[in-house]
Amino acid sequence: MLRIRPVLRQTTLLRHMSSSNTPITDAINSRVKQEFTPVFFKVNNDSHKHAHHAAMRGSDNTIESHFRLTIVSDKFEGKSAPIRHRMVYKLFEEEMAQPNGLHALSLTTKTPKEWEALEKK
Amino acid sequence: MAFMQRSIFALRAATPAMRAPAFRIAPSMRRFISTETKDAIETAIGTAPVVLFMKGTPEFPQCGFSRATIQVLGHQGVDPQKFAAFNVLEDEELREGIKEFSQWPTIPQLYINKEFIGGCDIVMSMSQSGELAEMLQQQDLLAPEEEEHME
Repeated sequence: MLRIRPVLRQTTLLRHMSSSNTPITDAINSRVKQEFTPVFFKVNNDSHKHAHHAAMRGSDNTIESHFRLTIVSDKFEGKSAPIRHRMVYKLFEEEMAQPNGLHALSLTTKTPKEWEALEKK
Repeated sequence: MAFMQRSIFALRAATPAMRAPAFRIAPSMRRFISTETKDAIETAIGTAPVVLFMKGTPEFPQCGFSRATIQVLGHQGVDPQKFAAFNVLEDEELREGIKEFSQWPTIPQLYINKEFIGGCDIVMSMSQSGELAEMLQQQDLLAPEEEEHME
C-alpha cells in the first residue's frame, strides 16, 4: 500500500500537467467569457445527477455531460429567449453533437437590467 | 392526465401523396435532413395546437427535462384534446431531424400553434413569469373548466 501511493500521486500530477481533467468546463468558461463578456457568469456541473439516466447509459462521459449556466450580458438585449439560447448553444455545437460530449445545457440568459429586476424580487 | 402520444410513423403513413411543390433552397439554408423528414416534422407540428417533442411518453418520461416540461403543461391546464406528444426515442430520424429543424440541439422542444417556443428552461421560466399562462389563455388552449350548476 505504502509503495503505491507515491506512484499514484505522480500520475495525478502528470495528468494535470499534460492536459486538463475538465476540458469541457474549461471550454465553457473561456468561450462564454469571450463571446458574451458577461457582467455575471456562473457554471454548475450537474453531471453527477444524471450519470445514471437512461440516455447516459454506456456513455464514457458522465463527469462533464450536464451543465447549468447563468449568463448576464448586454448581448442579450432585445433578443427573445430562444434566440439567446441558440447563441449559447452555437458556441458548443461540436461538443453537443458528439455522442460522448455535452448532453444538456440548462440556461439562464438575462440582460443586466432583467437580472437587477430579478435580484430585487 | 390523458395526454395523447402519437407516432411520427403513423403520420408519415397518413401524409397525403399531394405534397407542396419542391422549391429551391438557398445554399445558406441548406438542410441536411431529408425532405421526407422535414415534411413529417412539419405535419407533426401541425397535428395539434400544442406539440411537445420529448424523450419517453407523457405517462413515462425518460428524461428529467421532458418530465418537468410535461408537468408544467399539466399544471397550466393545457387541454389534452389540443395536445400531442412525440417520443423522439422511438424514431432516430425524428430525434436528429427535429434538432436541425428547430435549430435547437436538445430535447424537449415545445411548439405552440406551429411556433417554436423553446426547451425546458424557457418553458419553466415562462411558466414562472406567467407568460405561458397568458399565451395559453389567449390562444384558447386551456381545458374548459368544469361547469358547476349552482342554482
